[in-house]
Amino acid sequence: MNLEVLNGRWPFWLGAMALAITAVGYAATLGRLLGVSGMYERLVNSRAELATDREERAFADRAVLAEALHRETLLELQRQGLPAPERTSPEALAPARPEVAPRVPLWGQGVFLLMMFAGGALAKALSGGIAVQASPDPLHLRLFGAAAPLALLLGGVLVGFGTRLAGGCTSGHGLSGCGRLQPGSLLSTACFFGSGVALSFVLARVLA
Amino acid sequence: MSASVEVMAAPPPARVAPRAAPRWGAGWGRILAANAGFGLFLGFSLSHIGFGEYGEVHRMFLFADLRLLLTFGGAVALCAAGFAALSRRWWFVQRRAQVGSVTGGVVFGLGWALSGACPGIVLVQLGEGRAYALLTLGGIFAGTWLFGLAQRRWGWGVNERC
Repeated sequence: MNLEVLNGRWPFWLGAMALAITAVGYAATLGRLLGVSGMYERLVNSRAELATDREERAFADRAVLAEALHRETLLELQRQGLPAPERTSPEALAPARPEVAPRVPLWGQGVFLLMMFAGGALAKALSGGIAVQASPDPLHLRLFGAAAPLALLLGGVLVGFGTRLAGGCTSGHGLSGCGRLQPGSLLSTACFFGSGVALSFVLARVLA
Repeated sequence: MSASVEVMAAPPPARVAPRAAPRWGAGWGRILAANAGFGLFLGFSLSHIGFGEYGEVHRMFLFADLRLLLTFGGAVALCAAGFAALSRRWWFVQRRAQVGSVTGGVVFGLGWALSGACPGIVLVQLGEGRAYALLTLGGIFAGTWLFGLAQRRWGWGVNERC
């Protein structure tokens, strides 16, 4: 591996491979699709999710209880010499392939987000070192001037709200969804690229 | 009486085979390794692709530089090949087209063009030392929280999540 890969901007094919390896590899390893905005949502609503988890564990216990009752009922029927109802075989109840993987636990999603941060830091550290940059990119400053912090904050709110309204962002819809040719994802991706293009043209025309 | 003892000795099989599946479907080691490894790789890659820089994203939206668009398009094409193979093994959530796909997509796109960040990129920006991205990150958390509020307040439908 030459140093070009560690230093400069990657050519499009290398970037495309890296993104695809991440999205497909994540799904192949865990059976769950990669989607970053969903991780934010789960972190924000983590208290409710943990409460639901506790309820579901209690429900699982009730399922065991129901199972025990069922067994006792069958025993009683046998004892009384009554015909047992037809049993469903476990094979028939087993999930048919392809299977549904359970959700990645909350802490796993937290690890993913922290490591994305670390990945950005590593890339920067290996290519000239990290310099803390308090003011936005020059172009962003030129476009928004003193309102740049407001643009960042408002933009963030729109990103957070919009991705949850759409049910996905660049990773969940753009890669995991478009890669599977899902109608909702294709539509959503077209919409966020479209509105990004439209606003950028307006910004370039009006502010620059 | 003796018959009942015999019956007790051989109880009928359970209706459903007891499931001893691990709680998360995979061991914690695999979950940790996959999330840490792919998270690090994605952050590293996005930084080198240049998605963290507002100028690059702005030029992508203006079609002034096609590299990012080609990167994304190429990734989708490669993903299509990969997921075609994967879907024989796993069932993945289906994403129907719904009103939220359009409104949410449009709102997200506006935010992306304003801030230059999507939910993943903002973390990469922070890792790169772009401290101003803290504002974007705060905004994204606020927006996510606001959506949950709106959902509970007005009973908006829950979108399928990935």
